[in-house]
Amino acid sequence: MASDGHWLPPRIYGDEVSIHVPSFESNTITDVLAQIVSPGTWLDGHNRRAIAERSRLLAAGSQTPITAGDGDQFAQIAQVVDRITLSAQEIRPDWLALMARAGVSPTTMVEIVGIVARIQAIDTYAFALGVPQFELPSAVPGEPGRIKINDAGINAGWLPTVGRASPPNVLSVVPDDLESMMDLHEALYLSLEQMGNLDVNRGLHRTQMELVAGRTSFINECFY
Amino acid sequence: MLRASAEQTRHQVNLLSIVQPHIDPELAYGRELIAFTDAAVLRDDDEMALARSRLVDVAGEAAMARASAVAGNFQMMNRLVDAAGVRVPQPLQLLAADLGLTVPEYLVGPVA
Repeated sequence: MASDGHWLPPRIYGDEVSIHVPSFESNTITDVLAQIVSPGTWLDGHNRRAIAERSRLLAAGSQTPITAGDGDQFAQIAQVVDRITLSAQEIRPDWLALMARAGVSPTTMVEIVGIVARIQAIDTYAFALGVPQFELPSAVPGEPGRIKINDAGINAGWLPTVGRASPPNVLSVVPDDLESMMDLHEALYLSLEQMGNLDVNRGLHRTQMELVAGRTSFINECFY
Repeated sequence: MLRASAEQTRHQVNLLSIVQPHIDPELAYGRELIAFTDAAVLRDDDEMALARSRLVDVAGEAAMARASAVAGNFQMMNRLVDAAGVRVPQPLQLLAADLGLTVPEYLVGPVA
C-alpha cells in the first residue's frame, strides 16, 4: 500500500510492474459505483444496478439473456442498455420515440444513459490499466426521488435538458447522476475549470490527452 | 481541443493520425498512444498487454494511467452526446472536414 494511493492486486505486463490506481481516481470510482446502485430519479437501485451489470457484460462480449426475475419493465430497459452500450452512435429520434411508447420515458432514458456511460468509462479504465474490474456494490433499497425538473425541455438535442444540450448538461434532468458524472470526468480527465487550460500536464500533456480523446471518439464514430 | 492545444503550446501533431492510424502523429509517444487507445476502446485482450507495455516503456506508468483514464472518460462522453443528439458546433464541423469526415445532417441541422 502506498501512502498516496490504493494498490490493487499487482498485474504483470511486459516486465514486472505493479499497477497503481491513484487514490483520487480510486475513491471517485468507489463513490460513482455507490451512486449508481442507489435509488435514482426514476429508477430504483435494483434496476440501476442491473443496468450497469448488463452493460458491462455486453461490452465484455458476454451473453445477457433477460430472465423472469428481471421483471417486465427491465425487458424494455434492456433494449436501451444494449443500444447505448454497443451502438450509441446509431440512436435517432424515431428510436427514442419507439422506446418511449414502449414505456421508457425520455427522462428515464437520460438516467439509463448516465448509468451506462459511467460504467463504460470505469470498465475501460480498468481494462486499459490492467487491473481487475471494479466491483459493483449491492443495490441500495429505497424508492426513486421522482423529482421532475420543470424548466427542462428539448433544446438542440433529442433528450430533455435544462438549457441548450451540450456535453456538460446532457444529464441535467437527473441532477445526482449529473454530479456523479462530473466527478468522474474530473478524476479521469479534467475538471471544468481545467478544461480551459490547453497546457495542463497530468501524466500526459494536454495535447497527448486530446490525441487519445480524438482517437477514442473516432473509433466510436462520435463527431463531437 | 487537440488542434487548439497543439497550436497554443506549439506542439507539432498530425491530426490525420486520428483517422488513419498508420500515419505518425508526430507527437511524443503518439504512435504508442494511438495503439494503446485502439486496444483499450476495442477491448482487444491480445493487443492490450503489448500496447500497455510499450507505452510504459517509452512514457512511463503515469502516462499510461492517464491514457487509460482519458480513453475511459471519452467512452462516457461519446455515449452521452450521441444518445442525446447533441449538435456538433461549427469549429468541430470544420475539423471533421479537414480530416475528410462529413458530420451527418442530423447533427448539424435544425433542432428536431
